[in-house]
Amino acid sequence: MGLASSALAASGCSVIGRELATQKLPAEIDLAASSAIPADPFWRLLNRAGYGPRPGDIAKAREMGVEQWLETQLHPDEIDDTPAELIISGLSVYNLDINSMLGYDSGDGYRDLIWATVARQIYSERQLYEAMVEFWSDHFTIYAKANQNIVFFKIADDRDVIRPNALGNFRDLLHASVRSPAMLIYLNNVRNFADHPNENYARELMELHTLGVFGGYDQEDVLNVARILSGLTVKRKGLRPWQTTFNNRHHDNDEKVVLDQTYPAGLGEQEISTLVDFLVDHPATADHIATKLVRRFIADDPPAELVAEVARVFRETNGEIRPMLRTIFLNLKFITAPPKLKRPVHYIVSAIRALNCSVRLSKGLHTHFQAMGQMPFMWPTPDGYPDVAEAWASNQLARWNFASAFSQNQINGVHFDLKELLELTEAESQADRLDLFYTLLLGQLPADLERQKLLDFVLAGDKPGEKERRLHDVIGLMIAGPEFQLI
Amino acid sequence: MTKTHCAGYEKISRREFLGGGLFSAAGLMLGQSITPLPAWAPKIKLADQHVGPRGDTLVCVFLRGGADGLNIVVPHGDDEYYSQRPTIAIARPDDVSAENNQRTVDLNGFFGLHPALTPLKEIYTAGDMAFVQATGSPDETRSHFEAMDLMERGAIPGEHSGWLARHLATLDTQNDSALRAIAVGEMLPQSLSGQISATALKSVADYHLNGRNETAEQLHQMLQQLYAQQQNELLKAAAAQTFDSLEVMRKIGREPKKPAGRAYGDNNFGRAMQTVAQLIHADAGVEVACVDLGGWDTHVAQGGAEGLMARNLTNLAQGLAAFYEDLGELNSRVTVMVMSEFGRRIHENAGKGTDHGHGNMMMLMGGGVNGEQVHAQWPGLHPDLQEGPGDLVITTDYRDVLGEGLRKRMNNTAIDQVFSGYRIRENGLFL
Repeated sequence: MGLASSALAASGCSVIGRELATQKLPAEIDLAASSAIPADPFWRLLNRAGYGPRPGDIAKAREMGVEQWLETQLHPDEIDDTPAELIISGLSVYNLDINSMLGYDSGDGYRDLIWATVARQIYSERQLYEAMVEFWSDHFTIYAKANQNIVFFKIADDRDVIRPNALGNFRDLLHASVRSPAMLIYLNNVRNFADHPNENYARELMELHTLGVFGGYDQEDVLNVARILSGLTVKRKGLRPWQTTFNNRHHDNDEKVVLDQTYPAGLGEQEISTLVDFLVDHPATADHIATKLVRRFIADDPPAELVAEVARVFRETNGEIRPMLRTIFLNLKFITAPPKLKRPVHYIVSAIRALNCSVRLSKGLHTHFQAMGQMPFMWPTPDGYPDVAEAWASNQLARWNFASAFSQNQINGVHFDLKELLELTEAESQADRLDLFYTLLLGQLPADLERQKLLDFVLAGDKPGEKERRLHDVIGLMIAGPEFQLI
Repeated sequence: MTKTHCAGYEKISRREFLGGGLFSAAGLMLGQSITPLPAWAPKIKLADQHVGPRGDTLVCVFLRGGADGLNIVVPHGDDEYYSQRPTIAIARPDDVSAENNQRTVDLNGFFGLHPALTPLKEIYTAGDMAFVQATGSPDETRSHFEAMDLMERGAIPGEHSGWLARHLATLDTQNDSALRAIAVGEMLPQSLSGQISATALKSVADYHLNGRNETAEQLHQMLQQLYAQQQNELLKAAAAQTFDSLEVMRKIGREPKKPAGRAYGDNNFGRAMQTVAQLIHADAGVEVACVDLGGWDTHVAQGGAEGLMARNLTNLAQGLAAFYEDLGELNSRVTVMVMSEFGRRIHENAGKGTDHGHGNMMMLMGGGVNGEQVHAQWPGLHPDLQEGPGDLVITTDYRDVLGEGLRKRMNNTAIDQVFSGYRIRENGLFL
């Protein structure tokens, strides 16, 4: 069954979930309020600590205030998320145990994994949680096409490793990742034996997941970490599910030294946990994680003082994630930092949210993720999708062509209802209509000169229906323009 | 504004949020003034450009993942190769126990090609292809990302701009084409960073701005206006580059003509090489083209004459050979360089694969290549002769190869700035 299959999200739950999610339009949007505070801090907050506001979200956040909004988002379990949960519960493969999933075609796996991710980015109220799920999914990247069946193990990794720990503690997250079958398969630890160590996972565990490339280790340390991890593999016993197991016969039980710490002979499986704790406690790890978090949420070029502050919080709290996020989002730098370029998935999802689109999974959306270079879980190397504008800025055309297709409702499976949105205001005149979409997409009202320019363009349409089509054109222009790309 | 409890937010005056609207010339973005210099700007101070005639079009093929050079340019004359690689070695050219098409294709009695690269032998014999063995960058980390970065930046610690960007920045060829530097794919490689006037493209046919017939042209202009007023330099430059490239593309026929020689192969690499050829045929002003081919990180089950790596090599050889045949006489003005971030361990591992290593091979192709040679000061493979955890020693710095090419084929006389802090030693690899 391929991606195009019509059976996709046809399950009843998904449809109800989608309808619930898209029906939540506020009665009215107060355009005067947005005119009073152009580009206010809540605009940045909802765009960085999540996937951008839906109609009405800014007003709600403003009512809560920054701290309360953040605290609420930091405790996603307390946020009702029925619509998104209904969509997820309707997925046919994503909710199965690993053995049952393995009976499916891997195409079904990609479809469910991508939709489970993107649908929650679009519809979930737990926006910061989803942003952190994406952050850790990049940090602990697993390429979903690394081999035939790895996508199913990645689904399990998403459910069992990333999601339960995304706002928890880095130590728990790393312990879980080290025992994730998907990770052990992806980075070849299943082929790491005492007599023939395979260094792949050992190297990335230090370079990418913990210490960073200049974290002070050398090739000898890489080899010794590989020896510590030897025998940690993925097995299936009888009819039980595939799972991570430790095979002492393939474990190197001799003494090892890693970064001056000695692991005496004969420790067996225990030394893996010791190693993980050692790596979490190493100061380079705090610096590495802090740098990446600050780059993600503050600026491509992370300000050193804030990185140091977040690293200090990491060390003092033993890797608690929530306090690091408070430090980041409540810092003045969050406001004063230069604008950050949206990555492709964020760009697409924020457009969908801004216009309260109804979305069902389709190849249409996949085509645009692909053209922009960010199909979720399809980055082939273990470093994850890049997080700096320089990597993404050059591919403008793919964004503009998305904006054009999106604005005309030409993307299969993605649809916004212009008339329904127009009811958000008493938008009688074309100028009011422009103001509405300007506010929804860019968080402020246009300057008079701009409004006039756009208005002239819309009013120049004289054939029947052309004015409305030109309103669609202007929506495309707003999304293609620089302001919508930067947050 | 509702009162928040966060002092940080309140300290900022509203004025700082007066954002640039769609058409606002003021266009002051949030915190824009904090980074006066874009992060991608070269740190090295470059001397004034010198003006020179345009040289060859340089096509850089990067094999990402650390390609196993010892199974590409095979040292079949070194017995140690066979003892270190009991299951994945490529059979000697005269090994009758192996099928004919499973043996190394001999080049010079000591080195030979993986059988999947057979199409390249003809180009080699014609004098238009050379190989370098035991070459690479001084990277010591054996990290893909660090090694790629170092190689693409030109092995200058702390330098952010790429070597190709510096090449273009130091040489004024009076070529104002928007397609002077291109990368085939969704992103630009590090080697082009610092030189924002480079275009990432998938194909000529796809490089068009879509829209409704009635308004497409007008929207195009409005969008161009928006970006012209943008304060974010990176985005502004990227957009300007895109608009310029769209102009060039309009003048080029969308579909490539049928290749003059063999087919390119129905894979990303083949299509990318065909796109480059199409732009060269159209005389679109391309001076540097970057093409990536991934999938070389063969820790497990890399195979020998057949298998995982052989399939990748088949695509590589087919793409290169088709490109060469397609260009015909134009080869005299095109140089192709194939490289990878590092080579792999000399001995195979338990998973019948190879771990990250050091020294590697490079391929050079084109009319200006001093072909039919394998340049190697062979360091040997015996454990006593290895480096680090069992790696091939580098005897030819990769900058010597690139630098010689840039000077002789691309007419760049400022090699000392492209590879700052390093003195090039030329090896007679180019004419």
